[in-house]
Amino acid sequence: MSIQLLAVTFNHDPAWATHDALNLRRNATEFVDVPEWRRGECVNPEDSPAAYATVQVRGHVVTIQAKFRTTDPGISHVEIRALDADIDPPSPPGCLGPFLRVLRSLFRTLFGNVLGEVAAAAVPFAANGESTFESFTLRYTRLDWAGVGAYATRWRWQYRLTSSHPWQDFDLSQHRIYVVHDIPTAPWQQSPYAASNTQLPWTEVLDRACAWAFGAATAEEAAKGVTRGVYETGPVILTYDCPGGGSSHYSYPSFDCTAFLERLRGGPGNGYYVNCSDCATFVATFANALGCDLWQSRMGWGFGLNPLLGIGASVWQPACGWSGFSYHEVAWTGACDVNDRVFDACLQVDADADPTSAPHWPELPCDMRFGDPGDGDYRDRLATPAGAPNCDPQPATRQRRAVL
Amino acid sequence: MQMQSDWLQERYEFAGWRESSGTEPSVVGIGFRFLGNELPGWRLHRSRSLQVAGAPPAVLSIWAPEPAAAGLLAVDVYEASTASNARAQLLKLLGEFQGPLLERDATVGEVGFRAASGALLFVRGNYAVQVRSVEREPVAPGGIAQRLDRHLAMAPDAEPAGAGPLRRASTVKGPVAPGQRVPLDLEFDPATGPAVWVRFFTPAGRILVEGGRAWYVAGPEGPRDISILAIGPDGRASRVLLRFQKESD
Repeated sequence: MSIQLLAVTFNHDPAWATHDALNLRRNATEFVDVPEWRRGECVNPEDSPAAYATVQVRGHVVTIQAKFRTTDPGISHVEIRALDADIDPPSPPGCLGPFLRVLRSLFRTLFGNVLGEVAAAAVPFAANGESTFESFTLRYTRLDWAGVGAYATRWRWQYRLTSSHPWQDFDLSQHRIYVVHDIPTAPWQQSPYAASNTQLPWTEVLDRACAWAFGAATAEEAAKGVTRGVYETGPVILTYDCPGGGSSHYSYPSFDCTAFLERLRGGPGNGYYVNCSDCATFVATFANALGCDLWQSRMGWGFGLNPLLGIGASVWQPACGWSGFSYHEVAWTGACDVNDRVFDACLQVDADADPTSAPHWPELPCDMRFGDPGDGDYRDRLATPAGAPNCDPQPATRQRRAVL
Repeated sequence: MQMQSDWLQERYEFAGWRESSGTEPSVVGIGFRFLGNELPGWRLHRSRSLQVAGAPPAVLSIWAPEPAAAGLLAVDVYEASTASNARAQLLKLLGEFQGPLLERDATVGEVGFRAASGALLFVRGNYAVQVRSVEREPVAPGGIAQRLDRHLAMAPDAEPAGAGPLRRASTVKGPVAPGQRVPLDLEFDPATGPAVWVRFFTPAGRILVEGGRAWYVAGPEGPRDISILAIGPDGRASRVLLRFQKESD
């Protein structure tokens, strides 16, 4: 083939997220190098990751940059584009062509890849046969309405010498595209954009968070998905720390996200047990990677508990059969106070009219108002009527633990 | 609104163990690390040194049985600047337990606490330590904690200065008054560098660690000797004895 794709850059402007991808790293030790796709190095979609924030790109034209080489010294410039390889495979000859084009148009709208197609642009080659990084506009993107997720994009790259020549396939590239609701919030950062900044969003976190919150169209839906996802790791992967008195295993003195990811992959991590601080940290950190705006904050101190279903548990009882909690911690919105909303992946509360006794109607607290004693909100479902006054919000403890 | 730290101080009667009784020799260390041979029958799976705002430098580790079996241990060692700060750190660790009041445990450390069957916390010198069973198959943490406590408190056989990682130790010349604070200057073998675990044993007075440097604060009475023990990355140890003059000497 006389034309080759050398590299594709999705994050070509680290200062902005309105027309290109977010700043990323893979995990605590590995940075996502730009260009994200490099000839000879990238084969599978996960080799070439990029993330887009729906709220940021909405209403804007998204662009990428790509670089090419020609092996034919007679070619000084060409026109290049890329089609969705799944919707637009090479056309069969004959009268089926027009019919398939109509069908593809429908498929593209419904099932096309989230980045759509790369619109055609002229690419000149220098004397050494290489182009510079040329800017391309994406069209038919579905970033606006695809919802949160990790999607594969496969592009069929084509060139033509002039508009009177037919398009010729010359390369195929594959990419993993994360769609998040908005720019990730703390502890995640977008600057400084440097390999030394371990708080840039991790793709290994996005892999999990996007799966848990798949399809979410709002921050609330995303946070709910993450909360459910964390709770559902019990009892196979994690469970509440009854044998050890309910101590923090992943969240003190900071969030050992590396160990948590190792545990999710089937490794030892920091072990089987978690407490509320761990769960609050998992939820807030993973939801914030999707652009939510949650905190980890405590309530207390020392209060009796209604029967509940702790993470990994199948029996309704006050946690581990204890009389109460010395403190509790949840993912929390806003000022982490009475009128703010909690997302608690550590336990399910009894959502019926009487949370103090059987029968129990399990509800995972997602986007539930904290409330005052007697309001019938989260506080009354968690704490006994006698304990609720001691289950005060403690907004001074509000934090977002850094990831390690 | 009551702060959690105030609530914890009352709950654990912190005033009763906030300071060392002074009856035990003081042990203070700098640069603790796990070499992997500290806990026979256990293999060091992972060890990570951390410096996080609001907490002393920490070494967080995970240990697996050797030979391979079920069970997993988490052993966290916090190296505070003083023995008092280590006790404050122990209180912070107690504040990370959601469950019932932890019971005092007299079998380990200068101050120890036990949570059900799965966790043991203690202080030795400027170290606050947490040993926990963290996998489905339970492991009693008591024996492990005692072994680690001995490791922190005991001085292994050591070679004289110059033969191991510590070449020389020096301080100010002349007598030292009670309460006077003097620096302790250490010179290491360039081949090992300063990245060795150094411990200071003194029968009277206090050792402080500030900015990675050790200081001696003379006590009102008793011998003013400091035994300095340095252990290199290869496990070799060397010892230096510093003897101070009293003003009355």
